[in-house]
Order: sequence, then C-alpha cells, then structure tokens
Amino acid sequence: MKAVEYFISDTIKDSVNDSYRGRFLVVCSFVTMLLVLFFVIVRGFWDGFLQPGNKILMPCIFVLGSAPFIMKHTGSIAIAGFYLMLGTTLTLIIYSYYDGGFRSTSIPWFPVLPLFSVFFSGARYGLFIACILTVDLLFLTYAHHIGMVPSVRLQDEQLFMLYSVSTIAVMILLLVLAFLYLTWQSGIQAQLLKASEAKSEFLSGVSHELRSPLTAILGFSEVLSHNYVGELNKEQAEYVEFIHSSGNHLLSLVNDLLDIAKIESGQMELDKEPVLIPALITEVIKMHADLADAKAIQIKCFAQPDFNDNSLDNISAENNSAKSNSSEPQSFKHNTSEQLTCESDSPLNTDIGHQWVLVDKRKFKQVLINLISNAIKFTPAEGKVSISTNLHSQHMYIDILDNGPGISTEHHEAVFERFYQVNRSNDNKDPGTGLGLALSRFFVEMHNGTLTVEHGPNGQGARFIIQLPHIAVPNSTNTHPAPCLSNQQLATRP
Amino acid sequence: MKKIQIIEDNLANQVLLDKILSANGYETSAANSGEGGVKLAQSNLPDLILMDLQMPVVDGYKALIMLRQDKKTRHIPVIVITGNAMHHDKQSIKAAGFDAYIFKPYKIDELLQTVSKTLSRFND
Repeated sequence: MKAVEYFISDTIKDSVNDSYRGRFLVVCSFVTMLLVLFFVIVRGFWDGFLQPGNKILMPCIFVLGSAPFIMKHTGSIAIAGFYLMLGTTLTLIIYSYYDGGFRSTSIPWFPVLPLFSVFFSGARYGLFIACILTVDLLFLTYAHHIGMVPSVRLQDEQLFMLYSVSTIAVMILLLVLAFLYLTWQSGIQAQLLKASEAKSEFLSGVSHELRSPLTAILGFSEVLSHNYVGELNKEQAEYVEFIHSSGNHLLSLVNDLLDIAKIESGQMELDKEPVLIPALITEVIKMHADLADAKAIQIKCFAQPDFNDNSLDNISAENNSAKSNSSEPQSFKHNTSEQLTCESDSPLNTDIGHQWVLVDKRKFKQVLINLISNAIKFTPAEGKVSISTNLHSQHMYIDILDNGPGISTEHHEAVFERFYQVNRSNDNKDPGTGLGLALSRFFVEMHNGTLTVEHGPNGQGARFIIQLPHIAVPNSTNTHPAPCLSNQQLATRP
Repeated sequence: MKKIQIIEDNLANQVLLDKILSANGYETSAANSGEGGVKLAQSNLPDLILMDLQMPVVDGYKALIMLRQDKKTRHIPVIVITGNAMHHDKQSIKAAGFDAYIFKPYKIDELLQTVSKTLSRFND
C-alpha cells in the first residue's frame, strides 16, 4: 500500500473521492502492465518475440507503467487517466488488428475502456474513447468482410488460455472498481455525517456566543428601565427602550436563523403531543393583549367560522347556555374594555373538545405567534382581527384574518420567502425578522399541512389559512362527533 | 439575608446578576471561573449558587461535580445559566443534576422567580 501512496500527491489526498480514484489508477495500471507483460512473454515463446502483435504491446506496457508517474507529476487524475486510456486504446486497436480482429484476446477489454475513462477523467473523455473504439470495431467488421485481417498462428488451446486469462483479468478489475465505489460511497457518508456534527456543534457555539452579549444588552437595559440605579429622564428612558427593543429584535433574528440552520442541516425534529388548538390560540392572544390594546384592536376568535349555519346553533345552545347570543356561537372577544372571555375552563373548550390535534406545541405556538402578531401589526388602530378554527372531513382549518391593507395577489407566494418583507405598514417601529413566515410555512409543512394567504372578504385585509390533517386524539375528552361544514360554508374557501 | 454566589466568567453578565440580586435583597458574592467559584463556595457556604455553563477550563458541569463531591457544599442548590437552548442541551443539563436552569437572555422577573422558588424548595 505504501508503494501506491507514493503516487498520491497532496492535491489528490485533499479529497476523499480523488484519493480513491488515484489509488485505483495506480493499482489498475500496474496490474494491467504485469498482465500485458505476461502476454508478451507467453506469446513470445509460442509465436516469436518479435511478431507484430508483441511489438505493439511494448508501447502499451510503457503507457501503463508511466501513467502513475504522470499522475504524481501533474497531480491530476484526469490527465493521467486520459493518457492511460488513450494510450491503451490506440495500442489495443492496432494489436487487435494483428491479433485476428474479432478473434483477438484484446476484445474483452474494449467495453471496459470507456467505463474506466469515465471513472478517471469524466464522461466527455469516456465518450471520446467509446467513439474511437466503435469506429475501430466497424472497421474490423469491414476488414473481416473483405478478408483483410491477418491470420493468427496460434493453436486453439493456446488461444483459449489467453482468452480466459484476458477475460478473468477484466472481470477482476471490474470487481475492484465496484468494491472501490462502495468504500468511496461509505467514505462520503462518513464525511457528510462528520460535517453535520460539526455544523451542529458550530450552531450550539454560535447560539451561546450570541446570547451572552445579548443577555447583557437586554439585562442592563431592563435594569435601567426598572430604575435600579435611579430615575431616568424621559429622553433617557426612551433611548433605553430603544436599546431593549433592538436587543429583542436581534434575539428573534438569532432564534429564527438558528431554526433555519437546523432545518437546513436536517436537525429539526417534531415533538408531537395532543394540543387543544383553540386553547393555544387563546394563550397566544393573551400574549399579544398589550400590543392589541395599544392600538385598540379587537381580536375575535371563533371555534366555528360561519355563524349563519343553524345546525351549529344547537351545539352552542346546548353547551354554551351562559351565552344568550347564539349568532356568534363559541366566540370570545378581546378588546380594550373587555377581558378575554375564552378561559381554559370555560364551556367553550368542552364544545370544541374535538379540536385536539397532534402537533409540536412549541413550533405550532411559534406559527400562531408569527401570524397573530403580523395580523395585529398590519391592522390599523381600532381595527379588527378575527381568528377562527374549524374541522372539515380530515382537515382542521385555522383562519387568521386582519383588516389591514392586505397583500396584493402577486406577493401571495413571495411573502413566504426568506427575508421578503412587504411594505404594507407605514410605521417601521417593529421591522420583523423577515423569516417568520418562511419558518411558519416550514413548520406547518412539517406537520403535513399547508399555510397560504389570500384576500379577506370583499378584497379587504389579508387572510392566512393553516390547513392541518386532523388526527383524532384518543385520550382527549372529546365526546362530540366532529362537525362537518356544509358546502355553502366551504364556498368561502378556494 | 440569603447569600447567593455567582460564578460567571463574563464580567458584564456577572455585574448584571450582581446588580439584580443585590437590588432585590440578596447578599451576593462573585467568582469569574469554575475553580475560583468552587473555592469561594467552600469558604463562603452560600445558600444558592448561580453558575454559567460555558466557562474555560472548569465548566459548569465540572464545577457541579466538584461542589457535589465536597461534603460542605454538597447540599447547596445550583441554578445553571446557559445560552444553549437546543433540545439536547436541556437533556444534558437535567442529566447532570442541576437544580434549575435559566436560559440566556432572561427577563429579570423570570430570574428572580427561579431564584426564590429554588431557595424556598431547599429551605423546607
């Protein structure tokens, strides 16, 4: 093996792929050279050392023996491989002519020469060698036809022996090639695994390195705004608030970028558990209560979206008797004057017990946070955000509708691209990371669902729709059959 | 007054923890390395230790083992502060035997809540 390593230059060693090919070239050249030498000697004894076939095999031996040195000198497998293959092909073409044409013992080598050429130098060179050989074989056919091919002065037994040696040698080289290909593949796999592990470690490191200074930025600005070191004047307090909100923005960027990197390295996994979707929505709405209050935005949530359907009223009247207003079944409101009426233990949640879905809670919550905070952000003061959930056959739909300026049709797909930000709001106080919707769509798709956007009713506002396959959760407290929507209700959907 | 010891190699974060805790009625002491922290804890015997996980030479994991090996410091609750919020990090923190963990960056309320909860859990 050490002798083989001698020919592998440093530039070849750099790549796992190349070092396998280089080693194969060295082994292949020397083994074939010994084989050709054996042929020359055997034929020399049987047929005379200086018969035309033998003379032609001399340059072939030279080419085979010198190819590894050319590889060492040039550091290129492609050049050495092409030199080797072209030299061998040309000598074999002449040899086959003097060796009985199609009866020649060199014929088994013809089909494998282009194959090796592809392996060493690439498809183009392989094609070139294949063309030369095809032309030669056509010529040989013609030469046989007109009786031009010189006859061979060997006995059948001798021919048989040379033929079997030649064919077995070809097969052995092909086996070595196949074996090398397998080790090469597993080498690449190991390299990929190593790279993935390195990336994971890098992510972990970057995460820590970025969070440490952010802790100081966010922590000290909070310390200052809590007046730990004395009262701040109005301007100071405002600037400290800027530091804090910018720090928070940076933090969400770091988190989103880490998520994207995790997705790209295939390390994002789902940790599914049964989640009551309306309860999760309530939780997210509560998180945004201050933001909505500040703009006097009313957030409405409906467990069933279409309250014109009478069949739904029965369900709500039965379980939601506390609420006399049946025109808005299972709804809760949030606005400045009224607290959320959708509590986790309210009758509402027993109505919608069937809305348990198996999802990764953390990721799904992030999706809802992104969509709901976007809806609030783009809704003008005193506007309205409506969130509704419903089940239809095998799917659960979550609609998030705002009455902001909406998104024009040509941007409906682009908003889900990374760092794409539609300029649909005038204030740039909270610019967002530009990654939220891309991540949200990815998370929903990981759950085999879809996330799309369309125009709101009458072309007003934007409506984000999450569609999830609904998998019944066996341990849920659900005693109600899942209601189906009528076609009429579905007509509102694309 | 409860004594809390901070082990944190980053000066800014050390001062931050010190400020928040002392402003909220805790007596604080600080060390800027794992080894120094363990030595200080052995002589000072605080009621609680707040420790960074990633430190050069003696990291949080090693320091925890050293604290648990010493009879005097074995019973001191240790809260670990870490910037690594990946799934496997949480698992290794739980497996190492820390009493609580806080992820960077933390909110002041969150930090104080974890500290008081851990203290009351160990005083009962």
